[in-house]
Amino acid sequence: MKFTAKVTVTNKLGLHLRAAAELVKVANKFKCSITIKSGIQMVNVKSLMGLMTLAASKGCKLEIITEGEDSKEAVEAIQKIFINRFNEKE
Amino acid sequence: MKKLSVENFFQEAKIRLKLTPLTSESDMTQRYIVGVDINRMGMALTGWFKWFPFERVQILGKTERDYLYTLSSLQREKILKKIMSYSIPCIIFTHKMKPHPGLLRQAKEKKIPVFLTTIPTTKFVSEISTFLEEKFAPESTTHGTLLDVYGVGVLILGDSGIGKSECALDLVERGHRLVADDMVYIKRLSSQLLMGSCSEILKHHMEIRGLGIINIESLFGSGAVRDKKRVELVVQLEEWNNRREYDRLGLTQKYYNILDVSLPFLVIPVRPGRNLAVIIEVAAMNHRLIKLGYFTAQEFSDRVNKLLQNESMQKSKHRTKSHVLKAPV
Repeated sequence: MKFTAKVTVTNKLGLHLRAAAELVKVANKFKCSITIKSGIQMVNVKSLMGLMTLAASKGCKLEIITEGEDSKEAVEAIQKIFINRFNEKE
Repeated sequence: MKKLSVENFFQEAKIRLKLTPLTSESDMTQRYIVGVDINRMGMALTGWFKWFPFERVQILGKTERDYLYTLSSLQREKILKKIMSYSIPCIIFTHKMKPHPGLLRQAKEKKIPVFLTTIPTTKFVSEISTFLEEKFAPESTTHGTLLDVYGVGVLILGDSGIGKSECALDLVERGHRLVADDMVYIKRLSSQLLMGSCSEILKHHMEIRGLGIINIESLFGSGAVRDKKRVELVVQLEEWNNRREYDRLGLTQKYYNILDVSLPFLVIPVRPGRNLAVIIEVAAMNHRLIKLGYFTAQEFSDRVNKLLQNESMQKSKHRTKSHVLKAPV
C-alpha cells in the first residue's frame, strides 16, 4: 500500500537537527519505507543526514510518501509531527 | 526538464571558459540554457532561418564576425533584427574578437546577454560542451555510503540500521577514504562513468548511533576524505537470511543498475562476528584483480576441471593397460 500526504514546515527554526532527529526516531518505528519529497529531491526519513540535505526552512512544502505494510499508520504519525511543530513552542 | 540560468552559467564558467560579459549582468537572470547542444550562428547570418536552433548557446567565431562586416548596413540591420527576435539564451564571441557594434546594440535592446572569450573557437566549442555535459548530466541520489577502498569506489547499500556507517568508519580507520555517508549524489558523466559525491551540507559528517554526529575530516585528517570518486562496485549489506542462498563461488558476476550503467554487484550477509570492513577490503582488491585479468573463481574452477581431466585420463590409461596385459592370455 502506498500513502502520500502534503505537509508544510511551520516551526520557526525549520527542519533543524533536533527536529529531524524526532522524525527519524518515529520513522524507525515503522517497517514501511518512508520518503520525503521536496521538489525533485527524495530523501529517506529513516536517515538523519538525508533529512538535513533538504535544508527545509519555515514555509517549505514537502510531500510524505510511505509504502509497505504499516504505511497508513506511518504517514499519519509523520504528518502529526509536522502539525505539532516537532513539539516546539513557535 | 533541467535548465541553467545564464547568470549561474556565467558565475560557474567565467574562469574556466574565460568569459567577459559585454552586456549588463541583469539581462542574464531571465535567460536559460536548456540543453548541452551549441550552435555556430553562420547559417542564420546568411538569412536561412529554417531549423534555426535558437534555444542553444550561440557561438560566433572569426568567420561569422567578418561575414557581418561584408554586409551592407541595411542588410545587416535586417538580419540582426530577425536573429534577435528569437529567444536566444546568450551569444558568445570567441578568439577575443569584439563583435560588430550593430549586433551589440540590438542584443542590448532585446536584453540578450553577449559574452567575449579569449579561447579560440574550436577549443571553446569543446570546452563549453564538456562544461554543459557535466551540468546537464543525469543525476540521482542514493541512500548509501561511498568510499574509496584501495582506489576502488565502493558504494555500500543496505537498510537503515544494518551498519553501513559503522562499516564505513571501520574502513576509514583502516586508512581508506570516505566520500559520502547516508546520501550519495551520483552523476552520469559518460555512458560508463558514474561519479559519486557528497552534499555540501553533509560534507564528511557521519551519524553513528550512540555517538551522534562526527566529522571524519577533523577526526582522521584530510587524508581520510575525498570530494568525489567514480563508483565502480556496489555492495549490498543485508541481514543474514537462513533461507536465502548466498553466492559461494563467485563464478557469475551480478550487476546493479544505476542511471543505466551496470556495475558489479555483491550481496554480503551481515552476522555478528563477520568483519565487514575486511570483507569489503577484499571485495575491492578482488575487483582490481578481475580488472587486471585475474578471475580467481574461474581460474580455480579451471584448475579443478584440469585435475579431474587428468585423473580420468590416468584412470582410462590404467584401464587400457590392464586390458592390454590381459589380452594375450
